[in-house]
Order: sequence, then C-alpha cells, then structure tokens
Amino acid sequence: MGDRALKSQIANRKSQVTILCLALSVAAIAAEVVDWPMFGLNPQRQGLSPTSFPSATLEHQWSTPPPRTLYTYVEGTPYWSSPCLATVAGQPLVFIGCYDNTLYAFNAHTGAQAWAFITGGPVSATPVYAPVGGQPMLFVASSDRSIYALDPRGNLPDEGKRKLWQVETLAWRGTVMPARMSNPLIAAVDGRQVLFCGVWNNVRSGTENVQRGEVLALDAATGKELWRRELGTGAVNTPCLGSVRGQPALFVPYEPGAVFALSARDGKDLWPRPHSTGDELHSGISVAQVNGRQLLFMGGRTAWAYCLDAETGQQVWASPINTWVDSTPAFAELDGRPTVFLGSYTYFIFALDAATGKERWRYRTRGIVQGSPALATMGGELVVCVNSLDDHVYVVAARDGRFIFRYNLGAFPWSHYRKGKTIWESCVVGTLAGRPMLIAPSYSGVVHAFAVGSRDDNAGPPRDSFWDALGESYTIPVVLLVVAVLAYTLARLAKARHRPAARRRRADASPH
Amino acid sequence: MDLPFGWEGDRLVIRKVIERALLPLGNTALDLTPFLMMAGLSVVAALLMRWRFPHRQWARRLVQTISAVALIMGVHPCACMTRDIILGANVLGRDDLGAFKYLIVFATVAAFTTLFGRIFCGWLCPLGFAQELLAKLTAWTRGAADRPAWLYVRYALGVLFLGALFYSSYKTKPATFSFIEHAMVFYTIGLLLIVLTVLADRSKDWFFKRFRYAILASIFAVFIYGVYANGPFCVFFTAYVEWASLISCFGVLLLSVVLMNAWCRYMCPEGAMLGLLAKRAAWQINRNDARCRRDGCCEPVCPVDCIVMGIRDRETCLYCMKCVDACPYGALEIVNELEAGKKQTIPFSPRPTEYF
Repeated sequence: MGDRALKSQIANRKSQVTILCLALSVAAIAAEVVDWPMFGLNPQRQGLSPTSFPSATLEHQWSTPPPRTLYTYVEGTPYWSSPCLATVAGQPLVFIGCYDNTLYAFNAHTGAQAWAFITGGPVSATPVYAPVGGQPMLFVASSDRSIYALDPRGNLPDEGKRKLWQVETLAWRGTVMPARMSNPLIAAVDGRQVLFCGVWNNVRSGTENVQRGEVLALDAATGKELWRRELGTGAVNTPCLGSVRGQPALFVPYEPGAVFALSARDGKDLWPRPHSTGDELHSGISVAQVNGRQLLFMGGRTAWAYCLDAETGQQVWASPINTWVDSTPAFAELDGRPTVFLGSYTYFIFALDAATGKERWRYRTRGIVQGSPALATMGGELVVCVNSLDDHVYVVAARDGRFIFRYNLGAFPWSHYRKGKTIWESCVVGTLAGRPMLIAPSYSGVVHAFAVGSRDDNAGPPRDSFWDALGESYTIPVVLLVVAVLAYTLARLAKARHRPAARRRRADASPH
Repeated sequence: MDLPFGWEGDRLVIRKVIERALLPLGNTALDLTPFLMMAGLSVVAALLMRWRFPHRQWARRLVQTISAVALIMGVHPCACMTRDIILGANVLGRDDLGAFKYLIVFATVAAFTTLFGRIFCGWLCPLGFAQELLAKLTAWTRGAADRPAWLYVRYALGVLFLGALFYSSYKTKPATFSFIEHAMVFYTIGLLLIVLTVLADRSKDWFFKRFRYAILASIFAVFIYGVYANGPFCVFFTAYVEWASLISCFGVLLLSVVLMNAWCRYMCPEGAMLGLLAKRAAWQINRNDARCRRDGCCEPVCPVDCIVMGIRDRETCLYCMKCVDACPYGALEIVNELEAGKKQTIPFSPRPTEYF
C-alpha cells in the first residue's frame, strides 16, 4: 500500500472518529431532551427523529390563535420560524419565533402560552435548545441583528431574568436594515459548547453601505465571540456540522452560489476553494456518512439536487429535480439503503438514493414543497412529514411515498407573496414528556399539534374536481370578459362582413 | 374526479449546456457571460445594420440563431427584463450583487437601444425570431386566408384556440397564491382577441399597437404591488418550464401564423419599453428624398406593419432592415442623427412622426 493510500485511510478513520464523537456529543445532548432541539434535529440536519407514533391515526390536539393580525407580507419573512421542541424541567414546550418580533413558548400538550420574549425584529430562524453546563438554554437569532440566550423554563419567578446574554452582531445606526439570520446550531467543539450562526447584515446608506454575510461562532455559555468569518456580500443560509480531514467542519451555503467548508475551530477554509453552484443556493445543507464516505446533500435554484464529497467539495452526483429546491434534505437508511428526502417547487416530495442520486419515488402534493422533511416512525414504518404550500401538512411513507395523512392548516393570510423569496415554516416531530407529537406551524398564523388519538383527522389524499378548479381559480371573471369582447368583435364582424383591407384602401388614396 | 396529470410541468426541462458561471463574480454564481454575449451580439448586429450588402437578411438570421441558441442553451440566468428592473431597483443598496444580476441585461439592451434603436427586438430576441420563422414558413396560409370566405374559418379556429387555452389552463391549474403569477395565459387570450379584431378591421392596428403601453403599465403595477408575472419568453430563458409560460408561448407562436409578429406588435412589454428609448435613438432609418420613387415597396415587407403611407412608426420599428433591403433605389439608409446634427425636438404625438 502506498503512502498516499495509507494517509488517505488514516484521514478517513480520523474523519469517522470525529463524526462519531460529534454524534456522541449530540446524543449526549439529545439523551436529556430527546425532542427536536434545533433545525433539522441535529447539527448534521438529518431530520430523522427517534419519535415513534404507535399508529397513523392522528388527531388534532390543539391550535394556537394567531398572535395578532399582521396585515403586510414582508418579503423574506415567514409568519413563524420552524419550531424547536424540548422538555424543560418536566414541562413539554414548543419554542417558535414569529413575524411579530416575538419568541413564543407554548405548552406542547395544551397549546397554552407559557411565556413570550420580545426581540427587536421578526424571528425567522429556528431557536436552538441545549443544556449548557447544567443550565438549560435557548438560543434565538432575531433579525434585530442579535443572538439571545434565554432561560427556557416556564415558571421563572422574574421574567426580567429570562435573558442570559445578548450579542449584537452589528451596532445599530439609523440606516440599518433587518438582518437575515440563518438557523443556528450548537455542537461541542474541543470540549466547549459552541453556537454557530450565519448572519447577513445590511446598512442601506449612501455613505456607509454595509452588505456583509458572515458566520459567527460564540461560546454558548457566555456569548463570547470565538471567531467570525466574512464570506462576502450575500446572505448565508443554514449551515451544518461534519468533518474534513479529521477536524470538525462547518459547511455553509452562501446564497449567491457557493458552499464553504470552514473549520469549526477557527473559521478557516478547509477546501482549496469554495464549491461554486450553478445558481443561487437557498436550501440548507445536510451531511451524512454513506458507505464510509461523508457526503453533503443540498438543493439549489438550478433544477438539480446535489451531493458533494465533504472532504474535497467535489460533486459526487446531481439528480434532476427540474425546478428549484429550497428544502433542506433529510437523511435516513431504508432497508440498508441510504436515502435522501427533499421537497421541490414542482409540488413533489422526492426520495433519492443517497449513494447514486437515483430517484426512488416521488409524491405529488398540490403546492410547492419548500419545508424541510421531518422523519419519524408511525405505526411501525418510517414516514416523511412535510408542509406544502397547498395549505396542508402531509405524511407519506418513506419506503414508497404512499399517502398516509393530510390536514388543512389554514390559508395564506395575504393576497400574494413573492415566489422563492421566503422560506416558509417546516413541521417537526418529537416525543414531548412521553407523548409523540407532530407540530405543524402554518403561514395562516396558527400552530397546529397532532398526536395519536381515537379520532382520525385525516383529510384524505388530495383530489381535484372540475368544480374545485372552477371555483378556486380565476376562470369565471375571465370567461365573462372574454365572452363580452368576443361578442363585440363578432357584432362588428357581422356589420362589416367583408371590407377591403384598410391599408390597400389608404394606399389607393395615397399620393404615390 | 382525479385529473390525469399526464402533462406535468416538471417533465419538461431545458437542459442548459453551461450550468456553471463561466466568468463568475467572486464566490458567486453571478456570471458576466450573458452581459458580454449580449453586448458582443449587439455590436455585430450594429455593424451589419450599417454595412449595406446583399445578403444582410441571411446574416440577420444567423445572428438571431446564435442569440437564440446562446440564450436558450448556453447561459443559465433568466433574462426577463421587466420583472428584473423592479427586482433590481428593490435590492439596490441591500444586495448589490443581486441588483447587478437583475439589472445588467436590461442595462445592456437599453444602452444599445439608445444608440442603435431596437436592435434587440430585430436581431437578438428569441421569441421574435421564432415568430418570424414560423410566419415565414406559413406565409402561404396568410395569402389564402386573406380571402373573405376564410374569415369565418379563421374565427372558428380562433374560438377553438380560445377553448384550447382555457382547457389547458384548467388542466394545468396554476396553483399559486395569486393568479397573477401565471397571468401570461390571459395576456395571450387578450392577444388572440386583438388579432381577431384587427383581422376584421385593419384600421385598428395602429390603436392596438399603443395597447402595449397599457400592458407595460399593468405589468409594472403588478410587480410594484409585489407579485411576479411570467412571460411567454420564460420558456426560453429559465431552466425549467412553467406551464403558463409554455401555453402562452404556444399561443403567441400560433398567432404569429395568422398575423406576423403579433406579440411584438400588440403585447410585448419589453418591446414597449425599448420602443420609447428607440424613439430618440441615435441611429434612425431615414429616407433620401432624391432617390425615393414613392411606390410603397418598403411597406409590405415590414413584419410589424410599421410603415403606413410612407410613415415609419419609430416606436414599433424593429430595425430588421427589411425595408432598407427591399428598396431597389437605395432610398432608405441608417442615419446617425447625433452625428449629422439632425436630432430635433419632436413634440409628443400619438401619430407616427417620421416621413419616408
């Protein structure tokens, strides 16, 4: 065996050991809280929850009323963030950020509001829950350019002591614009709990124009900045954690079209150059070990889903989705076959073979599937839960895409939205105080909760009837308009019958 | 009743030959290639316009083919100018990279239009090229259809086509939050009605040519309100096919069989914008009075009927140079009005302003 091969093997082993350590550290966090502590469940964003529903008969448990009427659609701001679930001091809580600048904590069993924390801007990023040094902590990235660490317990005697620390990523000035914060993640790096977050700050001023996309690493216990790495002028989307050549690595999707691999220790580049994607990259990245090789999965705006080798940043496969993919892929082993699940703008949920990119199945919803899938076991089989922009939450079998459950979450509250500019809410699953639950926030302003019950609230598979299409759509006024114009035209025609072409008549009359 | 979704939009996709930026800006997918390509082709077109030679129309076809292949197959960004102006203006100062991406194509085309007239429409636009090509291939049908008996057949076909448009839009059922996203289907239906009206009464042609400004205003209003709208040309530029765009494209091409460049005449919002710029462009097609025999030989060759009774409509003219090439006396020529000091203040007039 040559030196190079040996070195490669050692590096591979190191990488596997690091991944194992990371997984163990996450498992250590997860063992206490189970649930869904961050976007994509874990720092790898794999979305595979150990939650097991005894059957697929889901009953609607509760829904929160919209916190307040929000009249205006703001580009890039969803109504809710994706939720974070945790059992804190025996109390099952749903933490969710909102368009109205507030982070809400709801009791997961009753839907009652446990507490709320007001920030200076809409909270679009999923909160992160983790016990740090024995203290339960909730981290919130708000578009007021700040990251907050909060005490998540429901029964605090003094609400004033809820905020543990706050880090302002950019000092306020008159021309500052709302920041765009990525979904943060927390992981143990060199024995220290570190919070990573992508931030895009903007000062829209003629004299001092700031457009800065950067990644921050903060000490989770104190909020002290460990490092900060500027990627460029564009936005930074949801990062994930893996390893490159044996050291912990942060894989960061840079929205203008690149993927960076940064050392989780100091933020330095681990690839010779960032991987350039063909177009903008709005999806998050997930990472998984497939056949002894660490792979990154992502979508993009090029009509393909991509898989990269985490060690080198080289493309392993590309699978045609034929439209945009903004959904962060979820990962699971199905019958020993690694599989990636993602949603797309073609209304389909796709299951792709993670090793080859070959399509295993697809399921058609009736709307854009922008949400990231959450995987859980339901009635003994693995299922994919996902929000679709047809107002419904869907549950389909992970093995073959068979329809299982659907529920109407409520309609869009605004007259329009800008396609592709806002990443809407995703549903999550978790076992909260021993009860498996599906939590599905909706852009209608309501958060819905489902659990196994005696009543089946399944709306059944989607169907399109002729009258549905006629009633829902624009057809009636347009038909009336067209009939009126056509009648006018025909009346003129009947009057005119045959008249010589106007041009020839004019030409005859011309002085030429 | 389950609809047989046999025509799923995602099955159709235009595979781009180049999927990565050739000349990227920094660590981004932003590409300078489309800008350079448009600029290069515009310069070539301008040179060919100025240089009088017998096979200029073949050269124009070649430039159109290169442009269509490059835009459809070669480069990946979308080149929807009307939408991009609003989007680019929205993000200026917030995301300058995005603003650059959105505005660069329009800025390039607008700059060349200001100098050389609607060179994009006549020489580079893939939709215009497709309409022209189809109209040329089916020229015999228009000759036959000019007979009065065919008028009723035409109307019957129009009604059938209208039904087909509705049926296809029902089948594909645009399921966005707002129908305006897929409004191009309705613009195409509107175009069909305009074409039918114009065929019944040709004197309405001039009126409906001004209709483009209403379309432009309505589309701007829609964009400013915050909703996107697609166009029939989206199928050429985007990486995947939207059904509304595909149906519109099909409709526009079919209408061009009946009336040459129907979309360019009555609907095209980009054409309307460029027409306003072309009105005061430096290069104008002017008539040499000493050579002109006034036999109207330049009129029937115009694909958009912009020459009426020796009057050229500056806003509608596509600068295809067919009239210049058709004149056996060499009476028409490109004149640089800036250079010749002939630039005059032309008061706004809804009427065509220049006499051949």
